[in-house]
Amino acid sequence: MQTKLQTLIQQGLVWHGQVTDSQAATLSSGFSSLDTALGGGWQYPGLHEWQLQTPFSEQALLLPLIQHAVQQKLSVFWVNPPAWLSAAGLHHYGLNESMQVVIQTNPEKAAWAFEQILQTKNALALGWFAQKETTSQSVRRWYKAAQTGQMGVVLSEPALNEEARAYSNRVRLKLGEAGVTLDILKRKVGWPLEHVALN
Amino acid sequence: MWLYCHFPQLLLDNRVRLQPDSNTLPLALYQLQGNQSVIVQCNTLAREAGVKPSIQTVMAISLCEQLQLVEYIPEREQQVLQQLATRLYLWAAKLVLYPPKGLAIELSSLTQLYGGMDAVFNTLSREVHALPIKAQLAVADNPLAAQLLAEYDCPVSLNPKESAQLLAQLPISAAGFKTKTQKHCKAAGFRQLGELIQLSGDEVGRQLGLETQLYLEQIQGRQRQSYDFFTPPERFRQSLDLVTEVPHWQGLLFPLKRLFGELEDFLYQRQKVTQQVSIELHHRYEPPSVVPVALAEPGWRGQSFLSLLQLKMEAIPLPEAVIEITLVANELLQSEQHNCHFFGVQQHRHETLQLIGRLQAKLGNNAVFSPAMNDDPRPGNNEFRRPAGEKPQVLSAAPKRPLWLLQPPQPTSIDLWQLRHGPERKVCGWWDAGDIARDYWIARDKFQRVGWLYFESGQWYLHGWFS
Repeated sequence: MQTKLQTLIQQGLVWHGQVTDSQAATLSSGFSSLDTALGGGWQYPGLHEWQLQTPFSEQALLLPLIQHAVQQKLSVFWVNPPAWLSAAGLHHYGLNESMQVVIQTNPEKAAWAFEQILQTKNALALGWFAQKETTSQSVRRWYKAAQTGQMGVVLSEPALNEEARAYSNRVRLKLGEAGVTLDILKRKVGWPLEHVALN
Repeated sequence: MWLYCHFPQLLLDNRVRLQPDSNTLPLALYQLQGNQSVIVQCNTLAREAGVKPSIQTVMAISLCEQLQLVEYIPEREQQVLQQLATRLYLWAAKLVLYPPKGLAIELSSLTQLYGGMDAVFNTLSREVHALPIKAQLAVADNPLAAQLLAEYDCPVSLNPKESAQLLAQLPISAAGFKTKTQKHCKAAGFRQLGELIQLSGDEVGRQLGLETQLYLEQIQGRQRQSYDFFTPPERFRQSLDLVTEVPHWQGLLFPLKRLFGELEDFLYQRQKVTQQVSIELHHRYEPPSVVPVALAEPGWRGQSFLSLLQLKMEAIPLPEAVIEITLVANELLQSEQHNCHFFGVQQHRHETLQLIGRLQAKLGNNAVFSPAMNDDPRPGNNEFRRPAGEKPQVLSAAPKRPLWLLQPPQPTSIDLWQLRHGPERKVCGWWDAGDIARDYWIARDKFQRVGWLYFESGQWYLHGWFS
């Protein structure tokens, strides 16, 4: 019985019902439509997953989040970013005066580093991981680490199977003629949503 | 007046202090004197078995089979003496070292500070006895007399007349004379130092030679002496001999904790901080393994260094069992002068810097950095890594540049792109043969992503992503 239940939990068909914490702090996503869909913005503490259908399509979501984080005097840690994080680019977006730390290492150590960052007050953790590295155990560990008061975002490619993970929110970014649209695969304040435009 | 502290078994006591385990077995230090090996220091268990200083090592082993023997190294005892002096320097400024086993402290200049000779003596005596190291103290009006009294373990007297009496009662054998002079004294019928002191200087000179006459004058404080006062060292270096060879890191943790505790005391007493320490692990045959440990922010807590070292341990295999550990801190900073970091007085700054230290220890310094740029006009060439947490250089101009930079740029086909803004011409770099002649464009691809392209020598390249 126990193993069947676990299979169902893994498939996302059964989940732990918990009272929604409407008082949870949020960081604005920078888009009112998305803020409404997420119940005020990105939950804080929380661990969020962004699945990128196309690589290098995250900046629309990333920049407003970092700008809000920097306003709140958070240090931003970039774990295994997909390309060289440009100091000139940071300067252009007005982020050069803030603490930006890049970590480049192998996936196993990156997972450890990501957890360490999530345990540290006053830090925003951004981690680029492949789906196969975001096992339910590691996501659970990150989630527990973030619960001490921090926020983390895992950026990954779209998941092929819809196995449940302990993320607060899971969104899929799609690029089209009209710009970026989102499918919200999991959210704390309601059922999944599709085709949320950023405005 | 001078206080002399004599530490009869300094090296052994210090070893037991740092490694209490070593005191659970009979332990003795031996030294080669001529062609004989002689016991020079031993612990209580060894004494109970009949071992005592100055007997031969062979005899000692036959008396006590389990006796642990360690070679006595005078230089190491001298290092311990220096550490003790550094500790006492907090309480008294004028210290003179008499290596390897003693030090003298000038008391008269301290009476006003502490409120009388009794208070000075009580304070210093308390501090000397604070460590579990056997000490014999004596006070006299000059260091040499105090040394003789302390080495003979006479009772302490702060009264100059009484200490002079005690000195006079010293047997000739304890007066520090050379063996030849002692024999002469014995032949002439002198038994106590007082009998020699009563004689006139000329008489002593005639009977025992000029050297003895001068020495007696020194003991009585009749000769002016110059002293080489102790100044505390500018760096920390402490070694620890291990009782047994330790083949793995786990076994080193306890002694390392002790050493870091010593470093913490050293830094705290001097109100200093340090950013980097190195741990030298000595092996029997292999060259020493040196492990540097650096904090993201200078600190003084031993635990901060130790926890970083624990992270590093996994990645550093020991080539051979360890027989001795040395902890070195060369660069000491004033505890206030190290602030070129972000967030002057921010609440969680310390935690963030601790995190960076942890990450650097586990992943290596190169894996953790902050992006930085200089004023080189060539895109890409101006980007470099700076240590994480350090404040960046302030630059005024902020031209439009992408967040992601592809290093090196990737060749691309213009058919995939729609040019939107440009060109921005960059022709420069003639000064160091890295010259470029590029036209930069901002363009969109079919996914509506915005890229940063340039055209050079008949080829298009993708150099970065805006989105």
